[in-house]
Amino acid sequence: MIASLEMIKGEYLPTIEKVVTQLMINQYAEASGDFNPIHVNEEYAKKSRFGSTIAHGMMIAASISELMTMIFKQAWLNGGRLKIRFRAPVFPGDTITTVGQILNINLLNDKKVINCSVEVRRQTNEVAISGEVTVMLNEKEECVETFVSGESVTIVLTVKANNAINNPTIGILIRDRLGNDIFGTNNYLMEYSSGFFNKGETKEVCYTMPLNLGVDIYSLTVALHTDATHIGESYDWVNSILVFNVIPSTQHFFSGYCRMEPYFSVKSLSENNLLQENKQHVMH
Amino acid sequence: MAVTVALNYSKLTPGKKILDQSYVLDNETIQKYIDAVGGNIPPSDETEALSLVPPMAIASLWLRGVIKELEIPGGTLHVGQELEFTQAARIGDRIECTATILQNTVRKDIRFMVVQLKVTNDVCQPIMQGKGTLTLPE
Repeated sequence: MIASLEMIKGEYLPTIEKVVTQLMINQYAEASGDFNPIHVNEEYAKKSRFGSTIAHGMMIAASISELMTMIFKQAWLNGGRLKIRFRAPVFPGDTITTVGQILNINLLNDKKVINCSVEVRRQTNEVAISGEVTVMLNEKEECVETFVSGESVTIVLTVKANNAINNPTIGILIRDRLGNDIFGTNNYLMEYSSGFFNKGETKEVCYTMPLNLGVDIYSLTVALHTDATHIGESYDWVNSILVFNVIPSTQHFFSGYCRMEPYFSVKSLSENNLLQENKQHVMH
Repeated sequence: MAVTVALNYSKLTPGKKILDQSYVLDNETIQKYIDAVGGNIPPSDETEALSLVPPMAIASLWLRGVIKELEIPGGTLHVGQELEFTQAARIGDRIECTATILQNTVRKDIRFMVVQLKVTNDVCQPIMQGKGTLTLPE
């Protein structure tokens, strides 16, 4: 299951939020060997211009790398670039939110180069870290298992026919973690022909769609058969060929499994409020 | 009686290598790091994910070496960082970290030091490179 081709300029990345504690700062000092008193000595830090201990910059920056790893996985670990400025201190007790936005997507040889702006913000909205990241993806796209709700994905199935077969039905089925069917379809139901498969021929079959699912863990089942369902002649059936996660998007959180994207409107049905309602429309 | 001589920062000229340190990425060190930052590599493949080291953990190891070698005084601030990851490292890997002074200037009573970072594995393949900017009180 692949994603990312549909990543578009201006799109916001998912966010990571965490609370920074003095315990975490002390643990980071242990792990990094950076015992600068501004981080770990409260008495010293009180007399400093910050008035309190502050978190290590690299400790806060770790959340940027965490976000990039979550989205781009190996592509980040094997070719990510990060350029950041530490702009404001983060204090114990602060809630930090790491955000990102796609600035550009360019093609370079066989690679897709994605530039994103990133920021780590305090709960006051003050920017603690700002910068840019660059990730290079193979143009053939990345096979991933974590998706943002609403993201466009392509399910790519490679089908090999051991014998000649005409117009087999090739289907997909997405189930929730409890095994309930969430969505399933096939080319028979969609009234598409898969064509004639010669003996030994291999074809690539793709289903591209917005992944309008709620946040959860799902599995993908694939099937090859005749007609509408596998009950007739079934050639192949693989349960849970892929287990994947759907994570929240930065826009319009919703509950449940289906991203329905309804249109919302309000109008008053009371005569007394008609004037007010008209005013509201003007404001819109 | 041991006499400690303070490092003379003005003598750290560009091109001077201040760190050439080897580390083994042991599970305990990396776990400490993960516990501190509260993050992890997502379990796309459980076995694979468990053995991968977060790249920022390696950067923090590099910084540890720089802090030690430069005898960083209180009041030092890390104001900027650039990193480029070339390949992932795994638990148990031995890495070589080097740090070289790129710039060392004093402006308005603040010393600006730009330090180049290079990390390779034990067969000299690059793992990451970059540069960090530190300000030290004069």
